[in-house]
Amino acid sequence: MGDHSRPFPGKRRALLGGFMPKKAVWLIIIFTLLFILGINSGELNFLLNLGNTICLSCIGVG
Amino acid sequence: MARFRTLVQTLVAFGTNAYLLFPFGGSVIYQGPLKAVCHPGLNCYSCPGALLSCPVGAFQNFLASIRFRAPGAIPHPGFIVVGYLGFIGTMIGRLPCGWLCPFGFIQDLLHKIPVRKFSLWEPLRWVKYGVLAVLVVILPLWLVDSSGLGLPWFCKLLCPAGTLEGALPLILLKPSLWATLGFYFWNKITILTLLLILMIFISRPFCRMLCPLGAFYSLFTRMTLVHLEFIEGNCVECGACTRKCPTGVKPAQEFDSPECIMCLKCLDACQFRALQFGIRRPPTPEKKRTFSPL
Repeated sequence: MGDHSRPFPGKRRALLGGFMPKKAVWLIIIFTLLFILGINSGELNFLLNLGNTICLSCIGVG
Repeated sequence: MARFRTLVQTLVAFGTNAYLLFPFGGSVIYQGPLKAVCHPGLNCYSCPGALLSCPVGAFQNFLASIRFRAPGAIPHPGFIVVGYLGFIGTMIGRLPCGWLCPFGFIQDLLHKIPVRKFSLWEPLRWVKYGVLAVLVVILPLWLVDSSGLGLPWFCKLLCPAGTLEGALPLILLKPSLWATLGFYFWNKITILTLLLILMIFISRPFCRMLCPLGAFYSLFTRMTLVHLEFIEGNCVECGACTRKCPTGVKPAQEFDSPECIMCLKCLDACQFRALQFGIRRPPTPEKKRTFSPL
């Protein structure tokens, strides 16, 4: 069986695995702001135009 | 759980490639408003059935157009794609690879063919970060023509999803494209063929070796809001989780591994509840959890 001598072995491993709630929250805020910035700078139209044309690079033309 | 995952993969693969008018006089590819949304997995937007855009293709095209010099041209760095993918990555890490990616689903299906299986040489895991850095970011930004316009080099040189879902159906639908095919097409066909053969013998070779989207998501695996938690006190080191893992992760040794696609096969395999899937919790002291099947 596993090591029972240490307290809360499972939790300890999860902590070592990199529990970083503050980082996650900050990243979510940053990425949400980036997404909003992208929408408001006209990237949505760029994306729409891009998606509506056939990607010649994907086909391997050239 | 395995059947449920297959059901989700099937529904997502067909649901996001549900444009069926192309053989009946409609446009060759879908050209509606949904193309302003990116797929969370790798799915070529030139696939005749695709309803959504490909995030990797879109991001490369954003970067390739940053240096474009034309009157009134506004540079778009692709914040919308980075924000979208970063949000998904921070929330659920590589879960889209295991559950939502149509190309991942194809790999899972091919690997079901009953032949002798082989494992992947582990250092090859690092190649995908090089693909992300060089083909997706550096080359589209750096190699530009006289007008400042670059190319999506990952799509052009490597992307097997684009060849399978975009190139092959399109050249069948538009025979006029045959005349334009050259080195890049045959290069991509060769890569696709090799990968399709590899998929039969090795589990998820493209995801593990070459996928830039998986590489991007894996940057967040140590801080995702959901994760697989290993409860050491319950583990009997039987190795069932390792044998079932499609990406060669050892869940009892590699916590929050960047290779984990959260398919949850290890969760099914573990008879001792040594693995739990859920929201990452703060490390507050609590009673030691053990479980005995006896």
